[in-house]
Amino acid sequence: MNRIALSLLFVTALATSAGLHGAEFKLSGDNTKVQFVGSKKDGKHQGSFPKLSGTFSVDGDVTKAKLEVTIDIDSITTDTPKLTAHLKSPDFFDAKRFAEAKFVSKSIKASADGYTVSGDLTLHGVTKPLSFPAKIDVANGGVTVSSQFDLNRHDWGISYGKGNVNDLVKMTLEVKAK
Amino acid sequence: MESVPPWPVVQSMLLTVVLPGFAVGAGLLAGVCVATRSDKLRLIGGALALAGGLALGNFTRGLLPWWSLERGWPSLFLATLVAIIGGVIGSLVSTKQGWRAGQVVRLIALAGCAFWLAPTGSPLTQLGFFTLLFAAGVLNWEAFRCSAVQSLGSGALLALAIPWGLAAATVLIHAHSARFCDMAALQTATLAGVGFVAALRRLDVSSLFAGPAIFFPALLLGGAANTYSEVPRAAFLLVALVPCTLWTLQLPPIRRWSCPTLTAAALVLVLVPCGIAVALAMRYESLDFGG
Repeated sequence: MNRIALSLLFVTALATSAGLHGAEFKLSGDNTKVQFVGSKKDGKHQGSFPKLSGTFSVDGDVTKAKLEVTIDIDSITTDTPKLTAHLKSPDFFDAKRFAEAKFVSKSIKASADGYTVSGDLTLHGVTKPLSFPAKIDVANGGVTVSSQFDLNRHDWGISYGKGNVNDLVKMTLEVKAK
Repeated sequence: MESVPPWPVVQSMLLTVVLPGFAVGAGLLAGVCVATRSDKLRLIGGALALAGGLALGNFTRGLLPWWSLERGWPSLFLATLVAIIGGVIGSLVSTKQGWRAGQVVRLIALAGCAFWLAPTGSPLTQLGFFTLLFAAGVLNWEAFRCSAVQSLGSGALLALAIPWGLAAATVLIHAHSARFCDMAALQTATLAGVGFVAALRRLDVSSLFAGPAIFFPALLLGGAANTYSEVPRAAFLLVALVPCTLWTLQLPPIRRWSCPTLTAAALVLVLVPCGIAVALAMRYESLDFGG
C-alpha cells in the first residue's frame, strides 16, 4: 500500500514539474506592458499599447523559449489625447491600414546581462528582424520579462516628420505572467 | 491650444512643399510657352509642369510612395498623374476624333482613378466611395470646364486652386494629419504655379483639371476615412465638392449676367463652401499636436 502511495506521489511530482517547465503563459494587457517614449528637439511623450495578446512558451530552458506578441495599434494611448490621434493617423502608425503589430521570436540567447531575444517584428506593414536585450526569469510558476531598447522607426517605414521627431523611440517591455 | 502651426513648421512647409511645387509648376510651363507656340505642346508642357511640381515636392517631403498599386490614398501620386495624362489624351483625341471620343477617354481615366483611389472597406463601402469619387471627379472637372473658364477666364485655375487647396489643407491639418495637409498644399502650390502662367499667357488648361478634380476628393475622403478627429464629415465632403458649386452659374437667369458679375459670383461660390468647411473644422478641432 505504501509503495502505491509513494509511486502516486512520485508521478504527481513529476507531472507538476513537467507542467512548470513545459508551460505556456498567456500574455495580455493585464500582465504585459509595451510602452514607448518618443522625443523631439523640445520635448518627449510617453505612450503605451494597452491591448495586446500573445504567449510565452518555455520548456525548462529559457534559451528554447518562444515569445509571440500581437499588439492592437488602435489601442495606443499617450499623455496627450490629440497626440494619440496624430500617432494613429497616416503620418505615423496609420492604424486604419495597419491595425496590428506582431513580434515572433526566433531565438533567445544567453548574454552577459541576461538574454538577447531575436525575432521578426511586423509593424506598419513591414517585417524586419529585431533583437533586444531582456532579463527573463521563469520561477514559482510564472515568468517575468523586462527589457528596454531603442527602435528606429524609419526601419519600419514610419518616416514622416524626419528632422522634427527623433528617429529612435525608447521601448520598454514588462511581462509578469503566471 | 494653438490656432496656427509654429513658425518652424510653416517655414519647413514653405521651403519643401510650396516653393518646389510653385517653382516647377510655373517654371516648366513658362519654359514651354517660350519654346513653342503650339497649343498641343503647351498643353503637354502644362501636364509635365503639374507632374514635375508634384514629383519635386514629393521628393523633398517624402509624402507618397512613387509606385503603389494599393487601393486608397497611398496611390494618390500615380493616380493623379494618370488622371492628368487621361485629360491631355482626351483633349488631343477630341481635336482629332470629336468631342464624344475625347469625353469617353476622360471618363475612363476618371473611373479608373476613382476605383484605384477609393478607400478600402467592405464591398458596399468601397462601392459607395467609388461612386462618390467618380461623381466628384466628373462633376468637378465639368464644372471647371463649363463654368469656371466661362466666368473666370484664363485665371480660373489660379482663382479656384488657391481657396480650394487652402481649405483642404486647413481641414486636414485640423484632422491631425500633417502628411495629408502637406499633400493638399503641394497640389495647391503646383496648380497655382501652372495657373499663374496660364493666366499671364491666356492658356486654356481645363484639360489638366482632371488631376485636381480627382486628387482633392480622394485626399479628403482618404482623410475622412483614415484620420482620428472631431472634424465633421461634412467639412471633408464640402471641400471635396467645392468646384461643383460653380454649376449654379449654368442656371439660365444667371448665365445672362454680365461678365464682372459672373466673375464675382464664381468667386463667392468658391469661397463660401471653403469658408464653411474651414469654420467647421476650426470649431470642432484645435491644432494642438501635443506640444
